Amino acid sequence: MRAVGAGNRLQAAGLPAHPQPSQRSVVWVWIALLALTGVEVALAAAGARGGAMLALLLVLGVVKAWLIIAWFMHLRFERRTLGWALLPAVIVCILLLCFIVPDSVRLGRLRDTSRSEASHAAETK
Amino acid sequence: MATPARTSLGAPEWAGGVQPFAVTHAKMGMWLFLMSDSLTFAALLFSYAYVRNGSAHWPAPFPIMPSIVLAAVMTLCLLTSSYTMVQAVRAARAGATAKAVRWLWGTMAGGLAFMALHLNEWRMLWGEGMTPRANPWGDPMFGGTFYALTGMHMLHVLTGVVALGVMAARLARGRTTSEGIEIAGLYWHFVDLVWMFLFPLVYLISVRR
Repeated sequence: MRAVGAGNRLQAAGLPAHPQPSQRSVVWVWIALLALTGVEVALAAAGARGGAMLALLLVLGVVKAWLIIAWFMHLRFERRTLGWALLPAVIVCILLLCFIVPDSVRLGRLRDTSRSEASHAAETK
Repeated sequence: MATPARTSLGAPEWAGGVQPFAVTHAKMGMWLFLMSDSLTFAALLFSYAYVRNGSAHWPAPFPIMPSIVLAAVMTLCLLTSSYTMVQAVRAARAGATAKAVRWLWGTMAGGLAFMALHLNEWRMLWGEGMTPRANPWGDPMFGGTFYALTGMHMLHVLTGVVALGVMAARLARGRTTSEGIEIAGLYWHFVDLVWMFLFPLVYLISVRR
């Protein structure tokens, strides 16, 4: 039995089916994703911590996400308008969420302040 | 001045009335759903970051062996299932239905392996006393955020496995097109993509020293 061809509905809409990534590039992307995961695990095993580690993990996460979106989800092979219509809005929304981060820092500082005030009051009693 | 890009129908891409994105409504709908779902996960991750950042005693309970290695194997399962999904789409587009169905079964197997490993991890953590309200290591919010993030993701994996099973059955009976498989694949790759952030942010920055 054969699947209904990719083109049927697309052709009815006057749309050609987009090209696909080559078999070789798909294998390379898969290997790259595994390798980047290996790098992340190696960093954690080596004891990397703190802000630099977090930033590095986020960068690696974004690179892996881009590989998946571009090659596995074929966005690289779709018309460019699709990516421009979808991605900037999501990125801006995610960046807007960053506005709550300073408040979480303030929360930690408030806790430290109240704890030191409590210990100071206990000492002066 | 540069001439604006034109669609296959001859109209300028942004003029409307034609399809400026050159995708069907079904695929566009899936992309829009995935964009909104990515914001759901982003909101959950930022909530987690907020609680973690404001906590004085956030636990780091995952030893490299077995927790991180196990989570890395779970990542391998998901990445490999994404690879098999790409092959399923390729086979479906080539009209090789039986081959496409086999690749879809392989993809589902990857998803099920991920879920089995994850549920086993949950069972072990629960056995160590980590519930959504308490844990023996530090801030009690850790359990709640961990189960919320990984549970939401696992729900997506389960949904994806069921959806792929339905699509495999429909493809075998000639009731869907290769485009239907590609759209289901978009969802599956998204589940994989989300894990690329959950794995480092939940596990790798909570490694026990």
